[in-house]
Amino acid sequence: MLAAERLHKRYGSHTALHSFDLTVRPGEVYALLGPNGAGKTTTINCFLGFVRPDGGRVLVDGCDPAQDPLGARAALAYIPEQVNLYGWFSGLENLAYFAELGGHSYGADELVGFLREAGLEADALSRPVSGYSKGMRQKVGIAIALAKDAKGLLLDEPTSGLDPRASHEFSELLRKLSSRGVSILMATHDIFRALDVAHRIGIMVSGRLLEEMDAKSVTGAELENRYLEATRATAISASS
Amino acid sequence: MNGLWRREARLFLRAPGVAALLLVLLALCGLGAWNGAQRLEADRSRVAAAQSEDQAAFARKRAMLVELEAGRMQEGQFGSARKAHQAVLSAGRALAPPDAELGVLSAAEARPAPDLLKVSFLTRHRDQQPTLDDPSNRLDGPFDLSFVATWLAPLFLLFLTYDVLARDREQGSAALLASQGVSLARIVVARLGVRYLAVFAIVGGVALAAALFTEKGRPSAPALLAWLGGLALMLGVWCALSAAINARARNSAAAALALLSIWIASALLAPAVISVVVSAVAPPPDRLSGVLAMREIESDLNRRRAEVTAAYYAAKPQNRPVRQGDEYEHYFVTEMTPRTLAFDARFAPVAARMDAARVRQAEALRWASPASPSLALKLLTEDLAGGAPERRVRFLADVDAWQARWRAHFEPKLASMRPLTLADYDDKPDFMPRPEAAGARWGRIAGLLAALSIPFLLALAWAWRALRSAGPL
Repeated sequence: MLAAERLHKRYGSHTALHSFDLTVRPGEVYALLGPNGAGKTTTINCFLGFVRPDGGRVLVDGCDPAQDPLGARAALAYIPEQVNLYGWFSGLENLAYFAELGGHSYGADELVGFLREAGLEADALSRPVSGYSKGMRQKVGIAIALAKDAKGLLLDEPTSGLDPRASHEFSELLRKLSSRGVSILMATHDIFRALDVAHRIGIMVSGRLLEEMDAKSVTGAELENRYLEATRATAISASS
Repeated sequence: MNGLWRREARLFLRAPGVAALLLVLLALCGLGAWNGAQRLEADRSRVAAAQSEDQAAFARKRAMLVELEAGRMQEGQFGSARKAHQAVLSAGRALAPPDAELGVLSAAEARPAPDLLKVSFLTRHRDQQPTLDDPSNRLDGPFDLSFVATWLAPLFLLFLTYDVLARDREQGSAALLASQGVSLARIVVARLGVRYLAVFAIVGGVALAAALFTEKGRPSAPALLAWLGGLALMLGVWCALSAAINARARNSAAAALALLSIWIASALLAPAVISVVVSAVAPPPDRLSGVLAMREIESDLNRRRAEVTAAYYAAKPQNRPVRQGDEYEHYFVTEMTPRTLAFDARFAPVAARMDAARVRQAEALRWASPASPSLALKLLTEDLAGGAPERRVRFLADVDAWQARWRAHFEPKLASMRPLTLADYDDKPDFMPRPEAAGARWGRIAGLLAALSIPFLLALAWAWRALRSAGPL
């Protein structure tokens, strides 16, 4: 469903992605772990067609976003790290707006259903979003992704700002979506969440996918060690 | 597409402050239209009162002549309806140009100037030139719909559009927006379109209502369409510029700064520069040299008064006085009349040069107007509201022609001191101002619309190019 083939991207003299390969199968949750500047967001932006690769290509359900960005985006839902919405609209109205932009026209009950499924409290639905906490806005973002009913879901640090309970609910939601066949690529720093929800985990440092593993094959401590080793080794080689 | 526009309209109208801002614009338009309507009605009343007073005065004299002829009245020393110098020299007509189609748009002093001329046998209506020969004067004026449309409406539009995408980029919602599967270009176009329609509907709607009100429900459709077209093009320029800037700007402050800079350059600096250049290339009529020429001619004719009178009667022996008038009559008939006619004949080329200079300057302004959409709309509005120099020149030519006919009608009686008859009263020439030739008039309007189209198409091309590559990051 999601594939990156020898993906290469440069910003001036800085190489953000080095011949990067990645595949996310239907129904699979793939967690891309890496420090800041590793290239996780650039990878997501390439899938969304926001960034044009300098080499290689990405495919979204067989569609190359560099050639047909709108076609690729139609098959994807996306939740950014900071879900910024229109503050004078309520959560419900924001959801209706984005859902209609995504080509879906839902009734009020269905929209409420998405928001409730995303974990937003009933009394918040009709309040202006300007009064929402970051976590509440994140939940509206999740509802927007649910309403889009896409084959693929791209998540950029999705649980940052969510409290543990909301993070747990979010993990449940991802598992539910995965069981429906949705392919999920999640860029995150959160080792625990990656291990909890992902089928496969990739460790990405300085634009390279250094390691890829089955989430069931590692423990939290092992994953943390391997992550730290990978980042340390890259830092040493970069400084030398 | 309609769904997208409907959604954007909902988002726009619910945004904080938007409804208040649109109400303020509506109120300003209403105030401008009110001022224009007040001025128009005052002008019309003034013209109607002056014309009716003239006609009544002449009708009174005619009635007096009927009484004299019937022997029911004794001829007095003054105010004789029979003596041409007493009946004709002070009598004349209050002349006004035909109503402009959209006079309500402008309350400026320049609008129909000179809008009311009291013209008689001896009047030098060419003395009464307006003082609006400086092109920069065309840019200011009282608070009217023209002012609102030219200067305030673009500012309102920029205020409503400067951040249509830049703010989403700044706040991070652009990526979420772009990920929905609708191109950002389409979203930007819909957002700008909604705002454009709101501003256009308010300004255009008030103008339409004002024209309907002041023209008793029958405004000139071509003139209205031309003005609305001009307004649409000028607002379109700012919308396209807003699209181009938003396609690139990383944050709303940068977008606002860029658009405000363009507005200042286009709406304030460009007209000022154009004014200086046009004044240099096509200088306004030199009023001082006009006054000096007038004084020189007067002084020369005064010096040679006996010669002038002799030349007149030599040229028109049929007009020689048939009787001896009193001192007063003798002065007006044998001195003032020949000198006035001689003065006008000698001053005519000076007046023609001044008229030509005004027209040249107006043409130069129109040629330069593509550099400033605001200036182009101002000139278009002024033209449709009746303030174009060409219209003034045409009106003065009509006045000259009428005065020539009035003089031709009364001159033989006046100069020969023969008594007036009822036929002289009844057959007096009427003033029938000719409307401007449609080709010349609409050629100017089309030229100004073309002048507005140039920046519009350039801005549109820039916006198109910028939007094609606009991304959320």
